[in-house]
Amino acid sequence: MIEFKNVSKIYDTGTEAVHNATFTIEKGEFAFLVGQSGSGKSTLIKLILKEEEASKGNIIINGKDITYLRKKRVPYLRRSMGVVFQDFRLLPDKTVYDNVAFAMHIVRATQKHIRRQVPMVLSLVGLSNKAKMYPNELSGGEQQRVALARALVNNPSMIIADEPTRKFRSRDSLGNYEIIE
Amino acid sequence: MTEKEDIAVNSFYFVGEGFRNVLKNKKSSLISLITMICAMFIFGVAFAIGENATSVVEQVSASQGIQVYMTTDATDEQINQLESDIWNIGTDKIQKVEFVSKQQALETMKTSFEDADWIFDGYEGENNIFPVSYIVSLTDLSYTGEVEKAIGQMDNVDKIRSSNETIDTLIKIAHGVRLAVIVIFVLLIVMAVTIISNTIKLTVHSRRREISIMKYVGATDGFIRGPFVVEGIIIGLIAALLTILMLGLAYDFIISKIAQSDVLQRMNIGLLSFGELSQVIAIVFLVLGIGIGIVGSSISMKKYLEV
Repeated sequence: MIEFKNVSKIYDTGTEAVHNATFTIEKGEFAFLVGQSGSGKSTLIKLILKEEEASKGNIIINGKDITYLRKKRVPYLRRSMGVVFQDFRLLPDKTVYDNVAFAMHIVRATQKHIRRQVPMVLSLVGLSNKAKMYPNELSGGEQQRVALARALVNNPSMIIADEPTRKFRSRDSLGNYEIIE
Repeated sequence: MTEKEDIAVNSFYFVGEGFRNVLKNKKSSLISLITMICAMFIFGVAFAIGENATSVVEQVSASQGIQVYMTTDATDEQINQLESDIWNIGTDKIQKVEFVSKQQALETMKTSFEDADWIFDGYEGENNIFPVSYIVSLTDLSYTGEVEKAIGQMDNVDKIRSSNETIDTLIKIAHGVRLAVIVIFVLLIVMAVTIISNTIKLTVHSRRREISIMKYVGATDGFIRGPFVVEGIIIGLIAALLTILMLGLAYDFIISKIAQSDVLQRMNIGLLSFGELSQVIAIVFLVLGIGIGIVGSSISMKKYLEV
């Protein structure tokens, strides 16, 4: 599903964020990447999303080498995975409902499908009653669950979460893992 | 799925988002709107002046005509023959052929020597020395040379007189005005595109985070650009409609004042009504409004789509 072969990433500043990473994550697997801050965890996710280019090595996702993926195809790669970003990246002037629905508009889902799917996912993350609120009216934990709902709504083949437990009490994060599972 | 299909399927979403954006970013929408209205209004004024100048030139020169004098010994039959020969040059070029008899020529001369018309006293009837002539009006002045040449080769034609110089000057003025209108038009387009794309650039800049988020969630460039383009089109359309309305009111008011002037009434020259101008103006404005909307938003978004 996700395969790294001798991948290194050196930023323009000369910092080597990832050094010779080689690993494979199979379908259905739950993988945790643990490390100190600044150890390159976020860079690894950026490489998977093709937000950053690998300086060396190959990254294979769903059997496809994305190293030479054409720029035009990048959006379609990103759609195949649900990503919960460290800073959530919610659209500030859209409601919780619209933030989640937005991900479905992108994959040209029908209105009917959107109206059915979004409330379902919001109830899954326990935010049904906050659908009409804006991100800045929510707590950090709630914002993260909106991001999680957005990541889940298109039933992606993989979920990638950057620091999914940072902002919460352990009770919450357990909940998040259960949802992902 | 290709990006094109993406865009086609999502057009409803784009229209909704576009309208929402216009209302949400009231300030920059208003700046764009005012800029476009100003540019279009100036063009409209220049165009109206240009068209009226052309129309006046056409009316004045149509009243000039080419005067064709016949030899004094021409018989009635030959006189009639010449008229049909002139018509045979082609009705696409000849608009009117007016017969001037010897008597009429004499009357005209008398009128122009108002206070001294007694000098023509001896030229009545048999003694009339003025030749018979035709005044030929053309459909378009550019045919003048060609028609003169054709008539010159006809039988019993003594001489041809056309107010060539007057006509040439008028044509030159009309061309000059038209050229000025085109130059103004081009300058205004450049100005409008620059200002609009800068305004949109500001909007896009203030929403760069939103744009980058869209990209991370997997939106294609076309999908992100869509609402912005629709926004540009909406502003362009509103600007076009408002400008046409304002221009129409202003034009009718000013024309009604000018039309009362003595000079125009004496020369029997009419100015164009806004209805005659509005078709071209409407088309130009709509194309311009929509075009600037599309081009402006495309230019200004480019930088922010590189994520």
